[in-house]
Amino acid sequence: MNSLQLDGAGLGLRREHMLPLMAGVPSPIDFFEISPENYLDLGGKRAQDFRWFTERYPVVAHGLSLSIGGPDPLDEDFLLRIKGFMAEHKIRLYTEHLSYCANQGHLYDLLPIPFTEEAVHYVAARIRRTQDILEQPIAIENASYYAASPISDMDELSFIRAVIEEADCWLHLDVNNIYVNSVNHGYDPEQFLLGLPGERIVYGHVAGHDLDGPDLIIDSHGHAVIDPVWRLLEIAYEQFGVFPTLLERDCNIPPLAELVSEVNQIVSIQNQSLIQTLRKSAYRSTSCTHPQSLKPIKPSCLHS
Amino acid sequence: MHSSTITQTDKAKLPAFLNYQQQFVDYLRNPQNDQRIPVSLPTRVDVYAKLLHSKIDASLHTCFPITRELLGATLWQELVQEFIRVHRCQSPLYREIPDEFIDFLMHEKPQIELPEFMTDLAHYEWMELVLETEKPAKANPIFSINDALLAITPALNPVLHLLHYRFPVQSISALDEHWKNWQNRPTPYQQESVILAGIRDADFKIHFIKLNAVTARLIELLQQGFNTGKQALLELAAELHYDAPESILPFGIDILQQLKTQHIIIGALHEH
Repeated sequence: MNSLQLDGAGLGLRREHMLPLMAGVPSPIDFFEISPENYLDLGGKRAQDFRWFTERYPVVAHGLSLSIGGPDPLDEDFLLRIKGFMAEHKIRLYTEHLSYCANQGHLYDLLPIPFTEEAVHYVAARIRRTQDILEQPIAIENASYYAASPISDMDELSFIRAVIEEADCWLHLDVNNIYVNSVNHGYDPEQFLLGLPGERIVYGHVAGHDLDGPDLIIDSHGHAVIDPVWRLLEIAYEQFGVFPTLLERDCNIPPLAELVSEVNQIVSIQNQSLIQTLRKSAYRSTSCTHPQSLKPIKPSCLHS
Repeated sequence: MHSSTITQTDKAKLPAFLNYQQQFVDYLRNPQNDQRIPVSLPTRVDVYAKLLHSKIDASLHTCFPITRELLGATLWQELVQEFIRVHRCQSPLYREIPDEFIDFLMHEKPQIELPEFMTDLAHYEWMELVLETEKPAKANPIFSINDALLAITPALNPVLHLLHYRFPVQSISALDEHWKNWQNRPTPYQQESVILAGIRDADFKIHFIKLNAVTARLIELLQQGFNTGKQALLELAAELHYDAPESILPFGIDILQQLKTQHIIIGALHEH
């Protein structure tokens, strides 16, 4: 992860918060995220303000429109534009959703790919092609979805695992999406999380969502993060180690301070997890020397 | 018949999941009531149809507030749905959804027939977004100027659009009875053409400046980028069939001066 110069906790950059942020970025925020679709070839005031952020903070490009799993040919011109945009703003990480958004024209929404064997090969090949064009690995995000496809021949977890494995790409873990899908499709979110290839996680998202009836959650990013989602983040850190994590908020935008306190929550979960990891390794280390020994831990004992 | 046979064959060749995705998207573009959801699709495809409509609606509503207000909620919703059904958006950029809508209004002739003035109004509302977000092409360096506007080759504002409308779009308001009653008029509105220069100034403010035809033509001549102020004015005089072209210069320089004040001319293309 050092190669990405990305660490700690971040906030999705919204136009509404640019001015207050430029007056002083609160300390819990280590980095920002934008969608290249919102800033690519943009001019004017907002483009100038955007530059303020890219010149001072690491920024992640979280794509919306690549349609990695869609029927239209991969839009390679668009990818080259993204590549130029990332080079211009020194953006190191590009992530996209495991979904599609176009069929002979864009729909500007994230639609579900049926979980089939054929789709695995198709999507993985397109991710590989994307990585070739960008000349770097990308991270693919587990997406939320509302309509389970009747033609799926495997479950969601197997599908994600197979795509990531075959594409040899990184995983962008969204714990809110796991929660949303677990309610919409009736599965255990913790078990699902633990089944993901943790060694491939480079980046994470937390967000809030909307309830639309007892068994349907809409992934609106329009509310505060709920406790079960925070809990999933804790488990992810415990299981896979801490990774840079961002708070998404895309509608019902509250004052900045409200979001900063949620970013701070990410920071404290990260710290708590790091402390636990240290304690555990200290415990493991001491237990392999003489139990009564109060001597400082020697590196050699880790290998004994 | 032949072409439909080919389509059928091609479809048969598609992997099942792509076929399914096409049916899914076909439904999103043309959703029916719950009973009509094809058996091959899950009922929750409807959730996506609603999300799609509200997303497109929100983007267009923000860009076209007066058009929407004048059209009224029902017609507006129908127009948005027709846009989703008929138009194929080519831009991957969310901020360009309004560009796609204008393309649809201008070139795809919606079934919901809009009065002429409303198409002009929508274009004018869209231009505000265009001017706000346009990234000008990399320009040559621009040199500062004094008042020697005849001698220099004027550099125009890099974010400048000359706009010709058939109706006075700037004064159309959703509160004005004259426009509000568009559906109840016995006769169409009288055309009353206007030319506007839409610009973005150095402080990122958007201005629409009303021009007369002569000034607009002068700007076009300057846009060619090789005329000095004097050459452009003399060419204009020739087009206007002046007997003594030089006689345009005394008031021509006033026009150039005014264009400078209005941030339409922002400097010179050469050092002088």
